[in-house]
Amino acid sequence: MATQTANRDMHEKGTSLWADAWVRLKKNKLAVFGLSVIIVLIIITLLTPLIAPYGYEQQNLELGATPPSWAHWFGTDVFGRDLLTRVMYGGRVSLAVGLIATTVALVIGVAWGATAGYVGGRTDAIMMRIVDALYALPFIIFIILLMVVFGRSLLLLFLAIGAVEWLTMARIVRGQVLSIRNQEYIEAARSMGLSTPHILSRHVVPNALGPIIVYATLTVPQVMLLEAFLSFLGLGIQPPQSSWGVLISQGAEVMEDSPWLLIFPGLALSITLFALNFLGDGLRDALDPKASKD
Amino acid sequence: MQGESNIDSGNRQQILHFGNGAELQGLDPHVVTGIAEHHVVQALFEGLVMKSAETLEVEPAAAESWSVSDDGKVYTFKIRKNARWSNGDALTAKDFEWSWWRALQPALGSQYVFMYFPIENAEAFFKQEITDFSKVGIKALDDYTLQVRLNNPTPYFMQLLDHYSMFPVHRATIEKWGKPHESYTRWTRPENIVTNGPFLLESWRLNKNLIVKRNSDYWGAERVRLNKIVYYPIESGVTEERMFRASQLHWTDEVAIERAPWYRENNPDAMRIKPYVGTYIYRINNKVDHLKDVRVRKALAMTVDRDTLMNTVLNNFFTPAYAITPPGLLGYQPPKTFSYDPDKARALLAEAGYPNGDGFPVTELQFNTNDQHRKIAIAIQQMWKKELNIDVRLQNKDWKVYLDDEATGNFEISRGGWIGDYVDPNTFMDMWITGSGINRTGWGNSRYDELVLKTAPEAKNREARYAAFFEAETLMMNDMPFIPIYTYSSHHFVHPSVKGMASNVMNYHNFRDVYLEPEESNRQEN
Amino acid sequence: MLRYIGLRLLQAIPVLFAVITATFFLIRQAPGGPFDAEKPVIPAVKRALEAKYNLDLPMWQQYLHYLGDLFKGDMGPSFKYPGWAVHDLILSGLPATAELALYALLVALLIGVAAGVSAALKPNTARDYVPMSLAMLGICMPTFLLGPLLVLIFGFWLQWLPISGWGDLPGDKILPSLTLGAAYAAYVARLTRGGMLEVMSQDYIRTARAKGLPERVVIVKHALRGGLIPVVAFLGPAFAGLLAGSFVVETIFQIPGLGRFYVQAAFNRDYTMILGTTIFLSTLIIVFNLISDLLATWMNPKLRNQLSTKAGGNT
Repeated sequence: MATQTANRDMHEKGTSLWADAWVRLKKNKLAVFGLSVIIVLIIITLLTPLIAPYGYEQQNLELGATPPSWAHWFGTDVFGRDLLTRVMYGGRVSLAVGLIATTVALVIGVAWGATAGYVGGRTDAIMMRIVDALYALPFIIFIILLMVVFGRSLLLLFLAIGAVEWLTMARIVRGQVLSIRNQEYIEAARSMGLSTPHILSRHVVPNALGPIIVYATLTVPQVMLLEAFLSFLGLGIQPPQSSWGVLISQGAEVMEDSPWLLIFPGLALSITLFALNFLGDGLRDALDPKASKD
Repeated sequence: MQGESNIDSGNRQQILHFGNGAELQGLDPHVVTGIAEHHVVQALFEGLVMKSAETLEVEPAAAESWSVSDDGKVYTFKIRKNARWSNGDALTAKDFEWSWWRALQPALGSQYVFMYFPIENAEAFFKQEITDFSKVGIKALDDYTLQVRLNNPTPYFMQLLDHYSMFPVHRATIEKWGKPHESYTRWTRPENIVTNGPFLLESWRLNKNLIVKRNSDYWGAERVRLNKIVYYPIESGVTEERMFRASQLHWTDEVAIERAPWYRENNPDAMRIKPYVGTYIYRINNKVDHLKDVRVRKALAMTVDRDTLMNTVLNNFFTPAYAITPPGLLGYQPPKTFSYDPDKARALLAEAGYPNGDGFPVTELQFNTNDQHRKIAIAIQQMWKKELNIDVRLQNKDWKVYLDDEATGNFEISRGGWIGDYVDPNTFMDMWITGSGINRTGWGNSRYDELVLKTAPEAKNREARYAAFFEAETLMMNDMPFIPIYTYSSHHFVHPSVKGMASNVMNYHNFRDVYLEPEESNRQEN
Repeated sequence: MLRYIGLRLLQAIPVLFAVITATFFLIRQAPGGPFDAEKPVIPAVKRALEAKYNLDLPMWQQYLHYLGDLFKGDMGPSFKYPGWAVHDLILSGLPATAELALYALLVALLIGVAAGVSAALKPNTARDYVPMSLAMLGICMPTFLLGPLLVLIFGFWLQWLPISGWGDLPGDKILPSLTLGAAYAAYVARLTRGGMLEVMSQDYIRTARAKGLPERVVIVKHALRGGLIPVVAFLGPAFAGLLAGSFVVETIFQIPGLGRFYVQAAFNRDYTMILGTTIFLSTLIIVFNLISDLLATWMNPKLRNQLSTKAGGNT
């Protein structure tokens, strides 16, 4: 009972939810570390055109694929292009795709899942059956059609990825909301005559944030790798541009011959994901309404 | 690895483990297309003639001998009396007559039906302009004599006879499982199929393997040494290489180019790279404004540094090409009308109105999604940027989108390739006829058409014929409707125990001559 | 409960119908057709082929033909492998793929739940960080990378396990199952940890603990039920995804499965095969999502009571 009272108090203060969370987040060293790493990565990618040692398309065919050296810290690829430069430029694409597409998936998935779960009944049934149907549509054909109709742009890439990734998010959120919709604090909010969108955004979603954040951080790598597959289909970036996903999938082909081409982009992706997860766990703890009482 | 490897057990029992690329569409010789299908169909069936893998010259097969009339238009084949179907029926000239009638049924949808078109009235019959098959130049004079009349003397006609679309099929079996013109009935299932080749179909497990075994009733059975061939449909070259390394395959369908340096250093004998009758090109859309100018097309062609491309990115798998026909195709040598010459290219581009590339529109280069096409495009994009200062945008497309865009002219520059259907320059020449479905560049030249369609076929001898081709090809390359890049090669990993797999420009294998000789005896020989 | 299941199965009919209809018309909009090839088919042959497969009819007639055949249980012949009916091909690939997906799911659940629970019990200690870091690596490691890596280590360096095949050599199912299962194990671990942490702070767990129940009982009987709800919600689509995602693993290990048909059908514009595999897959998705929803309900006592009233209230 004490928990719910605390919740209600906190939510009624509105924005203080985020302010409180920020205070708690700052106390979590790992989360701060994760956040710093991500900020540093974003800064590096923003500055890449200024600080990259070479041009990303600059070739030296005679040089070919060489292991790391003083001239090329991460080595070079089969065209003699500097891998460090390419990882830096690839990060621009991958971070943008990872963050934007995940946000798209997050927004659609949370809104859809929370509404279905909260409203329930026939609305829920229809909304979730739509999700079932969308899961089943042949994805490759869907992407090819998107390109035919809208051309090939980076924006479309974000939308296409967001459009597929929100489905599982919606199912997870709905499951979570179903389990909290009849809790006393929600009933209380309803009896106070608050509107459904208000209850959803202020009371339901914050209480389901744990799994949402965890799944969102899981979505980021998925999205980055999906981007490589879409580039393979012809949507998204085209050579000589690259992304971490593309570099990794190409590196995997030559892992026995030129392992550095796999290791460095792989490291870049892993570091980002670790940082995101530290941050995600920290956020989860910080936003946990129950935690405020402890 | 645990247990006995495929190689060890295969060598002991004369079982060849063969990487075959893709899963088969089917086994009906008149309907299937594709190289993987070819490998299996030619083990199961046999045409009038076969080719020597050594020389690519035709040898007697179902026909033990033949004669050609003086005007070169009438061929008379003597069918071998001891040739049999796998159910014991005799193979007769009537089988050929019926089979070829079947292949010409439009409803059957045989995609290689054009192989029959040199035969008198075959095309008209196929197009249903005539319905009386007796007017078509295919006639069984008796059970063992087949007469074929042609429209024109066709020097490469004997080469066509070895193509699977001209193999005989067993009438009673086909009629038992459906109508003659119905493709893909159950007649080709292992339990139903009746064949006439050196091997019999034993089993076919989709996406796993297809096994054929020696046909002891085959007329030339004593020549056949393999007991079985196991065909594996492995689409990934990387997977294939791993299976080869783990001694699971004797032969792979291809070599992943990236692995070449390692093999060259550690196991050079395992890799077999040979010239192949195919040419890798960049089609140019001659209808696009800035590519209409022949000087622009030449400038592009002259700034592709083929030698460097071959030596670096392509690991010396291929040889540079400067024309459409591969060199040395039955003695024909293509013209070389240009060479790598950036200075001249810049001058040409300036003459065309783009000095130093100024004002040259961003041009799209499309290719179907494939690692090798991607690499070549990346390298060439930079060569053009560096030498001509022009911007080319790369765009990979899914195979069918790529084909659709190319066929409808929705492209600027497009990667292309052509593999010869038979050993004759004609297979590379007649595709560039004005408006041909394979041309797709918008280029056309009436003199070229005349040389290829009239002068060459009517030529009295090989020299005159080749002279016509040479003139036509020179004319075309001076117009540069496409950019030739390299001549294909066939490349395989081959286990040293595999013998009799001769190399030739068609990458044609005659499994009748293949056998396995385990390592021990190899060592004694050496 | 039965009523709810019945209702959901009834709902499946319009879903399937919508999927079939949308897929049927969508795939025809994609550029290129099943008979397009580098060497173009001569027009007369193309016409013959199109007539053979009814492709020359107006689209709506083709659609009605298809639905009619489908109703009779006939999915038609594949365009790419015309010697085989679509259901032949699906049935030929199903056993291997289903088995692979099942093993992968077992791998995912065993490793994932164990790691997730272990981490949630001692949050922010080594017991948390180590399994969770491994899980992160698992997520970073796509199957196209993990597969060849495992082959390299266990197949070539250590020579413990076969590098390809399915049911041909002893142990050849281990590496593919691990490869496919690993990414899912990582998800399950992360979701389990999150769900468990959520549950462990709830009142009923405190109550159970206060009653002096042994920790093991608290976890297995009480916490796991609630803690695994997100995992269960994830598993429904994941199992269907396992089937579709087995393509890469099937290619790496040369497994005669369904995934290859599913992916290649789209690239080949093999209309009937795309429809057949899509119908098959959507049925699976509907069934597994239903199972996953039922499990989630069963695991959540509050929902269990709601369910009877909800289902009753809406019919």
